[in-house]
Amino acid sequence: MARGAWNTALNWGRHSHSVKLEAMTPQERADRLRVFREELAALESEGALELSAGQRAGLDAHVAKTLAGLADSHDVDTTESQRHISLGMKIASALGGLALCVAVVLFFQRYLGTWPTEMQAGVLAMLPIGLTVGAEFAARRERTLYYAALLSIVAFAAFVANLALLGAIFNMAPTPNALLVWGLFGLALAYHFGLRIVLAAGLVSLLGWVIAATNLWRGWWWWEFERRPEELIGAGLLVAVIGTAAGARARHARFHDFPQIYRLLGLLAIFFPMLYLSADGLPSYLPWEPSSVKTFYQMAGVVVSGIAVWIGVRQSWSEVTNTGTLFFAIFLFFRLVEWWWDSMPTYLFFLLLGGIAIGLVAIFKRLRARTRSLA
Amino acid sequence: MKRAPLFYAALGLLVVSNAFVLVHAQRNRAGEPESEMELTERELRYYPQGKDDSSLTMMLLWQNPVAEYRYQPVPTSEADFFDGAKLKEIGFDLRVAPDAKQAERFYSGQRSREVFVALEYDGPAWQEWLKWRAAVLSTEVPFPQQKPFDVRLRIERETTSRLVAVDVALDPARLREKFPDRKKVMILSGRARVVRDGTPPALRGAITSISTDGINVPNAFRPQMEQMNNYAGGYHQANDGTVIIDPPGFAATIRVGSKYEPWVAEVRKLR
Repeated sequence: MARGAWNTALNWGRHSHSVKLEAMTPQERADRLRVFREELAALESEGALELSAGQRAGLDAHVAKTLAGLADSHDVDTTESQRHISLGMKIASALGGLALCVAVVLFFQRYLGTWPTEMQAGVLAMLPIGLTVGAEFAARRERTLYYAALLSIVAFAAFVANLALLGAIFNMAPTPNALLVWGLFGLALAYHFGLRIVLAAGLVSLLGWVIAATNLWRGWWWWEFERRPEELIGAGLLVAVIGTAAGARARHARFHDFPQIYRLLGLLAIFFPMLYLSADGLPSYLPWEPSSVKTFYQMAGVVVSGIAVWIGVRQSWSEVTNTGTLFFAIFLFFRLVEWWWDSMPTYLFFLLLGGIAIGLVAIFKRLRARTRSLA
Repeated sequence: MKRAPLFYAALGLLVVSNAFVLVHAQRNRAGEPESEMELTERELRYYPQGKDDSSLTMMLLWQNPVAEYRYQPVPTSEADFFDGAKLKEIGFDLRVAPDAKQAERFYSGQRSREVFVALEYDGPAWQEWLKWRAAVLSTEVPFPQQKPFDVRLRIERETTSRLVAVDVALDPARLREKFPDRKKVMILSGRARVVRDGTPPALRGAITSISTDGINVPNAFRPQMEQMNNYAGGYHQANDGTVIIDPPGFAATIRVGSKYEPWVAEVRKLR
């Protein structure tokens, strides 16, 4: 039964990767058609496929019509050069969003204190409202959502500044409830516009709120994560599972890449506390000596990151594979330093490190070959 | 139109959370203040900001007989308000004996708890604090450039904050019952921890911070604040080496509201 449930859980990702037209974004469909057209031309030139002139003309017309329709309705990229330009636009809008966030903060820092309290409160409240309305306005005018994404990022930052600065103006005691409303606001914007970066910002806020509120309900001061880092591991696991489960059920193509963000943030929330506890076992909940706790997390870090790589490869979740690989290397490196650094010449240590890396490449190669044969 | 509910939910969150903050601030300041006192530059330090930072903030300075880290123990009469009974009352778990093997881990794992702190201004606690400081200063090993003991004590007595922590509790109303003088004792929210130290190890409570010790100054008081010079420790030395105490540059009326959050009601220039 447990095995069946595990298999079902692992198969969520596979279902989400199966090729269903309704589950694909317009851009994915356009990319697939473009690749199909190129591959068809290659097969014809190699003599592996020969279509009649009528068939070829019909197919070309269908593909061209579909691509034109997608470009018209969703403003997708239909050529390789368009894709490069779009990537540049994405980078520019992300950097622009970050720069505007910094500008908002510095603007407030420069001028807010010179205004009367009523004006401070009014401007702080109206800015995120104006930016959110602006993002909606932009989203209705452009299908690619570059401006909407940019304005949403700034709206989120403005809302964070809004509550933080209002709290400072009125000398309010800090409360974790601000994290909750920031998180909900981020999620509302992310699911409204289909924006991953705002989803990540919202999830980070909600992760913080879950831990803070749990501490507050138990009577503890809410902002002392470092004294019990394991709480973050539980919250990270929850986020990764919820994101994957929701992703398996979500049919809307706009959110098809949202589970990646849930899994990535969930894994980071799992691995960072493990890394911290592998260096200092004192803050752990585990009822062992701190040195035993350290050893446990040093080993667990290697094992859990290895499992993450395995699940990532099996499910074709690149974010899980990459994060798992990164932390596997970090945990392994720290282990090797502790075991060998003092007991051997430096050159030998790095020689062994290189040997281990070559061994890992060989293992990954075998894994890749196995995946190919399964496919 | 199908996508609209989340957009309106986001707008609703913005409106509701701002309204909540404004109503909270208004309720804090409504009616009679919970406490009100005029403090000087000794208790409220103003640090002028650069041209890129327009904020006006005063830092509330206070003496802490139950600090988390301290080099010399405070006499029992000053610090005994935060004993084991008070720690238990606040909710700390003291079931492990301080000299037990697992005590270090058990107590270091206990996080802070939010408490209310009573701060007494220029009262008996301040006089006790000065006595303790005199005892500490007298034990310090002198070095060549150091000022004489009586000068150092005078500097402490005439320049440092006279606001001293005198008690903590979970319920601020109980603190107010114990310290009814609203012109002498202000109650603010803060954080407390259990500390295990000493030889042999013993448990004691420590106040680790006041949550609202950075007090925003409204822009209406900017002219008074911008005329202030940097308060360089409250004294300077004449050419002949004589220590001259600088009088505080300003006095500010601090009110604390029903939510135990402070605000600046008035700023008065003193020199």
